[in-house]
Amino acid sequence: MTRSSGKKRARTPPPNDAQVSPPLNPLRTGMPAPDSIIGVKQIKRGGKVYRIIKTNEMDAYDKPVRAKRKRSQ
Amino acid sequence: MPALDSILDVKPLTMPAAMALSKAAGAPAAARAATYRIIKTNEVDAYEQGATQQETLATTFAAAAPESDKYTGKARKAAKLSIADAPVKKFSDLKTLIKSLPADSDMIAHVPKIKTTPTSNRVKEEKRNVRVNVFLYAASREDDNDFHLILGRDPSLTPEMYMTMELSGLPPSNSASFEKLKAARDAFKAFFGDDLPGTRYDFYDPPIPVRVEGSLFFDMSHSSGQRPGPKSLKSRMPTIFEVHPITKIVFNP
Repeated sequence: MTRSSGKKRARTPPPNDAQVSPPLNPLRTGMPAPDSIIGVKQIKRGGKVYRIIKTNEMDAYDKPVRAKRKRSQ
Repeated sequence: MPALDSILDVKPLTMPAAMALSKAAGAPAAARAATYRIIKTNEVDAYEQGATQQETLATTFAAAAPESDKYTGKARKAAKLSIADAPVKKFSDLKTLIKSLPADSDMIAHVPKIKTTPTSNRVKEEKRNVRVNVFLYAASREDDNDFHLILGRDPSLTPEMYMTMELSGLPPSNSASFEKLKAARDAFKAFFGDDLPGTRYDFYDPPIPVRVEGSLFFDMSHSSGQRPGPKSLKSRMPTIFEVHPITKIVFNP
């Protein structure tokens, strides 16, 4: 079944101040390489806002965790 | 060119056979004299030895499974889980702390040799406690349940400089160091709540000001081969000395 093309889409409400976040500045001291970034999350602690930048960087001697496969009996 | 932090080694490329062939083929002298450098990096295809990008994305924000706080490592366990019996020396800048450390080369050549066995305890140079005001730039959780914290100078200062400091996995509850190590670990966990780092490094923007206290430790296990630290910051980590274990951490002091 196809959707009606005349149906109005719900508008996304404009972000409030807490949701507005400046773009990441890759030149800021101590930032990870842009191509290592796999996600960004904003947290608020003690009235201050921080961003957690998830990367794929690991200590080079560590082995990445792989999903465990079920062993067939 | 590769990222600076990914470079492991640079070697001139010498190809006498190839040069002889090009000479035989009548290549111009200038072309035959061209020199190349092989830049060895730690970069691999993303699908090698690990999760694919899709797997990575799927697990990035997945709820973390309950994990143990118990220390499960072996290398230098005695030193890593003990607190030096020494007064605490205060440093207001990481650069000053790093400058006060013996050279890594001296520690590697230490007499007696620093062993990496579980019973290897603190040597004289590690019997120091420090307190330093730093910024938390990145963190990860190791297989042995240590949290690796990458701490650096005030972002407005140059040169950039970082050092590893570790919230150790916990020793048995009857250990002399248990209470302090648990209190430090709990402070870290309380700050981040459900947003604790996993095995891959989380970076923090802006870096979070912290005051860290703990004992000095030389990471002899990584005195050769790959050094600890995230690829993006490793070139500015001048030592494999660590603060390990952290005995106190205060956020936004």
